[in-house]
Amino acid sequence: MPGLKGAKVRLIFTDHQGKPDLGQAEAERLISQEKVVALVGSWHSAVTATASQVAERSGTPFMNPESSSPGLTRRGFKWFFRTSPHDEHFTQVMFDFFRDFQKKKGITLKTLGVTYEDTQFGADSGKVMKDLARKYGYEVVVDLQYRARSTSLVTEVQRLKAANPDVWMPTSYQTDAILFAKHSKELDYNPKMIMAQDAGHISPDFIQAVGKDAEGTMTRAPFSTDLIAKRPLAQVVNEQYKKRSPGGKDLYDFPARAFTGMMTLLDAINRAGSTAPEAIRKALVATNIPGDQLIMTWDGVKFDETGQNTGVKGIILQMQGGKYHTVYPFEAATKEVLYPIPKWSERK
Amino acid sequence: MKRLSALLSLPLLLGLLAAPVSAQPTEVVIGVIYPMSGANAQAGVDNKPVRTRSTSGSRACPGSRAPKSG
Repeated sequence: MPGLKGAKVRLIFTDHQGKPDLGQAEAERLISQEKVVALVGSWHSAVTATASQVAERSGTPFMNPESSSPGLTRRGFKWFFRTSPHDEHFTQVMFDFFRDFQKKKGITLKTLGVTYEDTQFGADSGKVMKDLARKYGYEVVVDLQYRARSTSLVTEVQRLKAANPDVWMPTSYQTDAILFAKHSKELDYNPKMIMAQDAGHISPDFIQAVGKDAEGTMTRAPFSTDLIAKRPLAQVVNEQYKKRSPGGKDLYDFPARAFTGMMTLLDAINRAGSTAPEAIRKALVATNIPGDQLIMTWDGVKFDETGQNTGVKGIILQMQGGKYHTVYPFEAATKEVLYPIPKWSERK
Repeated sequence: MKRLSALLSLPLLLGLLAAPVSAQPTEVVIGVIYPMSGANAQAGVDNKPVRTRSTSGSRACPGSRAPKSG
């Protein structure tokens, strides 16, 4: 780090296993025993909530690159910073898409089916979806919270099939997303449009597990692999990532957000020229990274008084031919929207 | 008297010289808390290479320069 006369950065990785109490314990250990100068994490919103409480109490900067529960930046925290969009940003993009797509195609979408898992991520996402549905005049005909990591979601799919909403809007982590796709096929549930809240639906495990059966699924995202070709900086980072990633994967949503969050924190520490917590916090507050220095298609990174990045933008992707492609905003699209999703009986 | 003054000022001088050294860390330690096992371990596993990459030099990571930040 040039700002610290060449000091080296050392990362200590810990595993929270998706458990909020474990995330909290690890945050306490890292701060008190390992003497870390900042924390980064924790993907699951529920874990980010508990781990960042520890950081807040001890006055340690906490960088969150990807948790999307809006409430995380509404706790009045002084030491918490989020580079990624949250579910209100993302869900707004979904409803912008609905508006523009109906206009473009001359169709009408009236009814929504909203399903969401019962951790903080799902609960917050479900609330935002229903709030925006009300705001824009859509009727929610299925409003279903289910237990995360359920072993069966047959009942939930049966309810969706019976109500047959114009758009099904799931919020799931990957095991649930895989189960939903499998049950939909088994029960011949044919949604015309699926608009997912990222997470499980964009995970490579989901894509690998359900393959063609996810055809037509749309999801919000802050990044898309097919946009790498349009951003020289993303191409450079992608080449490096592919050499180190498991299986030589291309950069996608999760690592792209992780990279952006970590770079933002390192930039702040470098500018602070110190590892003193208050100096790092002040540098984070003063962050102003322009969009052309990011791999994301955002306007930049600049935090508001809550610690939320104000330069974020969401996009809509659709699974076509086993890969996600950008379909919205229409001017950035690399594929036309596939609509309606082919019925199971029509698929090869 | 001069000798006493010099002796008294020696620790001060040494302190001043030592201060910048102790205030300038040679290592920046950051804690990363992610799911590395369990149902959603893929996020943590796939994110680990970019974190390692982003700390191992700025040439490959132009975003890290962020010179206009401030």
